[in-house]
Amino acid sequence: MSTTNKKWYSGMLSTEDWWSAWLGLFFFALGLLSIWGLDAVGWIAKPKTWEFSNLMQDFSWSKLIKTSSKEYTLHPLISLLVTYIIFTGLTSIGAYFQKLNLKKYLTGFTVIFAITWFAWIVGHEAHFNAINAVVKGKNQYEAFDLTWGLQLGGGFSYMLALAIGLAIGNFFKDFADKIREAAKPEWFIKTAIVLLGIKLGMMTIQAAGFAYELALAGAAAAFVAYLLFWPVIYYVGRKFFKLNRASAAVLSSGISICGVSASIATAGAIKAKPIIPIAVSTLIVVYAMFELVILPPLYTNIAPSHPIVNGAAMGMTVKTDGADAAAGAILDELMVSKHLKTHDEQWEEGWILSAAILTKIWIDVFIGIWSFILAIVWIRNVENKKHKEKIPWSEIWFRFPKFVLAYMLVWIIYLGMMYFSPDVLPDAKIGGNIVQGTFRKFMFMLTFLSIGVITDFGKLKGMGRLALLYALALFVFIAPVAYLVAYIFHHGMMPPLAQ
Amino acid sequence: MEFLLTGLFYKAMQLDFTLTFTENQWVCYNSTFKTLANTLDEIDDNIEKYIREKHQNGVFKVKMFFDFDRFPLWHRQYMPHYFNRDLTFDIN
Repeated sequence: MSTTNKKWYSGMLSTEDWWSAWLGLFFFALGLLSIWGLDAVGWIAKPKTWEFSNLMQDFSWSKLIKTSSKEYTLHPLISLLVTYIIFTGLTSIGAYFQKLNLKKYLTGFTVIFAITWFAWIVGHEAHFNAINAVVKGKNQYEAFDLTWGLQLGGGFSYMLALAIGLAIGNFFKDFADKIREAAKPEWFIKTAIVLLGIKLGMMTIQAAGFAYELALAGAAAAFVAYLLFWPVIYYVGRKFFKLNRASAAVLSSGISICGVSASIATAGAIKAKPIIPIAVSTLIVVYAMFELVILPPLYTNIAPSHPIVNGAAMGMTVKTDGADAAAGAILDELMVSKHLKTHDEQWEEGWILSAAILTKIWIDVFIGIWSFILAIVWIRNVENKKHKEKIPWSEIWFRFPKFVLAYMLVWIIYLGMMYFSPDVLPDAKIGGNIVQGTFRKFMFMLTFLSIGVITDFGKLKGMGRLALLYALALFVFIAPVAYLVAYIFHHGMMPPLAQ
Repeated sequence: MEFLLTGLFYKAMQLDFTLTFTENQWVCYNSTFKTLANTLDEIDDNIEKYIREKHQNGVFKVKMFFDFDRFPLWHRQYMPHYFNRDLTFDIN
């Protein structure tokens, strides 16, 4: 058996990229049924903010979990069971077609689901989650009569899931191996990003000019990042770290573009031996974790008045879609919470995250074109070919991230409704809000846990020059310059206030 | 049939191969031919030899499709494609 990309439709049923699109579009379509009065998504369980002593006095599951829609009057545990069955069933279909070991996947997903929900519920304990401000006419901090609280909003759940995942991945490696088959952060996050297309659609309806500007600024920033970061890292790698051409090129793409996918795409473009991108990818995944842990609180505290700049800078700095979206989500939660706490006004959630994602999506989109150009340059200027070789145009398509198509499709459908059938929007939003809210956040939670499980810091050992170059390039060059570029293109942009 | 005649309107004959990688070597094969080499240039040379030995003169289009199953499972979620190659061999 082999997996090759021969036709334009190759991989449609066998890659996680396509399955992100299918799963995301399926949830999106379920949400749209609310236009016809059918609530097909309200069954999904969501955590409630709760307080420990209050729960201990009078335990009830309904204090911890509820359904996402009042249309469904299910017992909280039944709602959770339905959520488990539906998510396990749908992702198992995807796992089957991706040729994963279904038995291992089912076991792994069940464990990941359980731990994710544990982290999500614990993260909603009021001392971690509640913010001392009025939100939707209610101050939960005062309602629970708290004397102290971290006031981190939903960010604590994400950080807790990540911490548990990292603990499993680094201290319980045998256990991590048992559940690794279902730890698919890229699949989960790309599905979540497709669902975020709904949010982008709603944002466009709310503030069309701003949403378009955000998208275009993201494209410009991504373009600058390509032209600025890659040549500098390549030059430093060759000149000062004495890397060979292939390693320097692959590492440059990994550090400066979009992480693992860029390093594999670049290595493919220059036909490097696969061992190079495999080694570089290990490095990227581990460093992405440092970025994910360090940058969101750092940006929140040093630049609390530049939310969109912070989001865009995150998109350019944090490598891999999973880590970037995860960092964007934490940043969004932390910044919205901090602003609410300090200014008593609530930014609408999702805009900072969208800034991070949009920048990253543009970077992802360009990777196919970048690799194509690099392949031509390599053939003409580096390789000394005896035989005539041309780069197939299909290479751009095979490297194009397909989940972006679904993300754009979801956005375009919302734009279509806005322009051609605005009367259906209020009903569409009923299902859409649940899908881009609870569904998306659950996929994010799965991502945080999974990304921790697959990150093994021990793999940094023996990386030598590559690890040193990566660290220097990231913290001395990429992060500050990315922030500067983000500032140039996004300064002054602020999320609207929550309605 | 090792050759796929690509129709009346095409001058060149086409050969399809699967390309993969073991620990140290590139491997290129189809149902009737297999070659291993340290570099892709050597692979190309071996294919040229094979064509010279087995076939008449002419222009041959050689397509190589990389088998992505050779990548570790956890990598495939990031990028499901490595590369394909389109080569032309003019055998006279």
